[in-house]
Amino acid sequence: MSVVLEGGGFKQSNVDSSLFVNLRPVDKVVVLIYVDDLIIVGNDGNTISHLKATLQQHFPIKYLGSLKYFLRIEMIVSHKGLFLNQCRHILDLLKDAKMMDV
Amino acid sequence: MHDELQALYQNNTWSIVKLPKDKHVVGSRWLYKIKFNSYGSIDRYKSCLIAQGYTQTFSIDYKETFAPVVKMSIVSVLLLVYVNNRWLICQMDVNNAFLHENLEEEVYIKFPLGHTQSSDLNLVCRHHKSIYRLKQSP
Repeated sequence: MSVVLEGGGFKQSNVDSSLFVNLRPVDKVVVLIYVDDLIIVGNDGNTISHLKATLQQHFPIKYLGSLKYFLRIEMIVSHKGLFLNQCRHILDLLKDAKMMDV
Repeated sequence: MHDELQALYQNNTWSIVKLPKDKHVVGSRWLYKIKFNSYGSIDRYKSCLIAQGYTQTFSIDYKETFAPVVKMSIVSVLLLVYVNNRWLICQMDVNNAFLHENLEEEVYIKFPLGHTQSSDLNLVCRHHKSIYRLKQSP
């Protein structure tokens, strides 16, 4: 994965090895990889869809649309910002522990 | 199970070789999972091939373990950048993520059960890509 990204002009971050940054004057894109999950953040829609197409050429990747559930955090995008909650994770934990009705 | 084998083949995960005398072979087995859908009925059966990585020895079979995890603070900062600049965000998911990582060390793994050529005991799979539960896998 890192080879493909670096071929596309991305730089692996010194701070965190799973962070890839491509900051050009006009379009800026940041990719965050967590094992098999990717988050792409950028200011230009065309660049993002181009990157998406490139990645899909190399890997079997499923596009999940806007950010919804990452690292057990549910995220809801609104015009005011981002609403984070872990309700789903807590429910999953309770279900695993069979404590739903307690 | 068929899908998993198919994915392993497609990625050239291993090649079939005779086991060199001084090399150690790692066992493998299938792990089965039943996935339920939200109504509680069975959605699909999932299987994945795992290596018995606990039999690998440090410095002989592997040099370093690997964990591409991300710091929570990085995620927070990224989200902050996204919200403050009103950028675009999207999420993607890689299928069979481990199978895309190349292995540096020589790793020999026993044939998975159900593999068509598993009758000859001297033959093993030399893995080029990692699979679950190898020491080299996250």
